[in-house]
Amino acid sequence: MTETLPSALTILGAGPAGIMAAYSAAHAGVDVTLIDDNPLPGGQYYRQSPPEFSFANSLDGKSGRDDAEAVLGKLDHPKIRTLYNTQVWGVFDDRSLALASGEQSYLLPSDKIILASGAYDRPLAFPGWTLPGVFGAGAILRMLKTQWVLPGKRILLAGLGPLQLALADALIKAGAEVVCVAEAANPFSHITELPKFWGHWDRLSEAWSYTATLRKHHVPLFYNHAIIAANGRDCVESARIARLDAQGYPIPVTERQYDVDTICLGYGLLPSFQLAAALGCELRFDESIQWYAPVHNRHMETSRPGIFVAGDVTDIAGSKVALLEGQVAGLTAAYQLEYLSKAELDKQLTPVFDELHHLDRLVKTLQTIYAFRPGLNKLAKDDTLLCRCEEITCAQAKQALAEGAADLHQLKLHTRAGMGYCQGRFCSVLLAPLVAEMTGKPLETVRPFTVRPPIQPIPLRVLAQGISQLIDK
Amino acid sequence: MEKNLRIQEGITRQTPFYLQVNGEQVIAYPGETIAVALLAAGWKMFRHTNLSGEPRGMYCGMGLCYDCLVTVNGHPNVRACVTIAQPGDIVERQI
Repeated sequence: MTETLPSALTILGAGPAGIMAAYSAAHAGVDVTLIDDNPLPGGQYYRQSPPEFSFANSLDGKSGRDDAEAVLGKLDHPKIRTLYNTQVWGVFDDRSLALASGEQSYLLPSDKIILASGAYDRPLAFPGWTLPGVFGAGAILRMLKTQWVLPGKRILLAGLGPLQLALADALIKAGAEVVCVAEAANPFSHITELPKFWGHWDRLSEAWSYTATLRKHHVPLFYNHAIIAANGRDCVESARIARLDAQGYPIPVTERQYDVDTICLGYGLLPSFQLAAALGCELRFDESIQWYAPVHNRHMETSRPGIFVAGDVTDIAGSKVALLEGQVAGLTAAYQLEYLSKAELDKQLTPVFDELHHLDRLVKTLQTIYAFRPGLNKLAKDDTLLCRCEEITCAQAKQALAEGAADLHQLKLHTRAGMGYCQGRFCSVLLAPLVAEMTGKPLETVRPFTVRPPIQPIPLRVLAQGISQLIDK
Repeated sequence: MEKNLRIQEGITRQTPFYLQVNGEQVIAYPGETIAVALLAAGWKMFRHTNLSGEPRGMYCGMGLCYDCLVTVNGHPNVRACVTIAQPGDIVERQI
């Protein structure tokens, strides 16, 4: 594997957190290498349309976000080297990153590392969830706002959190028929939390405008409802939703069925912590998402010195927090590399910490209202797949657990669940509650699968080339 | 064929080209992913799974779930959701 010149600071992920981390460190004088597996920077939030498309309003091609040009423009800095279309597939020699780009493998020794690898849609296992036409909310957002194609004609949205309202609004405005929005939370049962939105007027007016769009188009918005089944032969033909009880379990007599060709699932996000785990960073169990995220201190440093996290990879808190956390990580890395004095670091961080503190109350409120509810882990029937890749059903997983598998690792050895293409990203969070239930252990003690290279599947020819060069070295 | 899934307002695309998908001609515009070209043509199902043969299509849309796999120009298991369509591509749905 070709070993490239060592990098003082490598940042993984060119979304809001990664961009601000790169800019903050580069501005202080650090030579930064910024890596992303997409062809263009922006991440999910500032995702850009392909350069071949042109727009009446040029901002539409740059995610449509008001601050997109300002944020993306920060990458025009002589100290920032960008490597796009590049996957990180492993970690060797403590902190050398194995990269794959096209047909080539590279080894990039890195002194400091900032992980800004973002998050992905949480899977929800219910009968029919693997049918074509059932999409994660991120997939639909990307189709709509960067490829400018509707995913279908009649769409049902089901999920947890305010983002699906934004998506419903965008789908309606683009001409899709939205049949209903099923929101698993009930914001009105958290009435004491509502005053905490005081001062966050932009968020409140945004939410108001989205619900106004739904009302105008007579789209019902059901609070305290979840999807319980999708039906169809080769793709989705109908969807069923039901009201939830206090624990989040569906109440059978409240079922409603809709004929739809598309289902959008937005049950929140899970941190893409795989690289952090591969680098040996400690993970914590997050109560609000009921899953794992890397541990960090106030300066965004993980349990491993010189390795940082920023943005949704650790705190599912949205783009504003990600931009700020990116600054904290970038500036602190610059300080550790002796480009800033302690006094300069503290001076630059003070306003950033103040802003983070201001946003923290809002983030905590949203996390309380939209916390993942345990009943949503119980929608699968015996023949529902929990592992999409290896096609392992709920019944097969239960049987392995009954035969003595006591954790996710043993479940993997018994059934192959977690050994497929997605590397356990989707099934781990579905299998863990079953492990907890069948073994009587608390969910927060069921550890995720061990992360091993390749962290993302890469073609064998690229891997083989990489390994032969690693041996030569 | 569904012709109206592509949003037209405020956006100009370049001259389209054809992909050959299981022997049929499917329109794609420069910059589109293979997945989007298939979905815009009304094809949600991209493959059958190896084990049970159940239908699958695009799910996560960001290159992580590997459910949208297709064969492109003889290379199997290519993620349609992150692969930009090129003129003349021969795509096989793995069915």
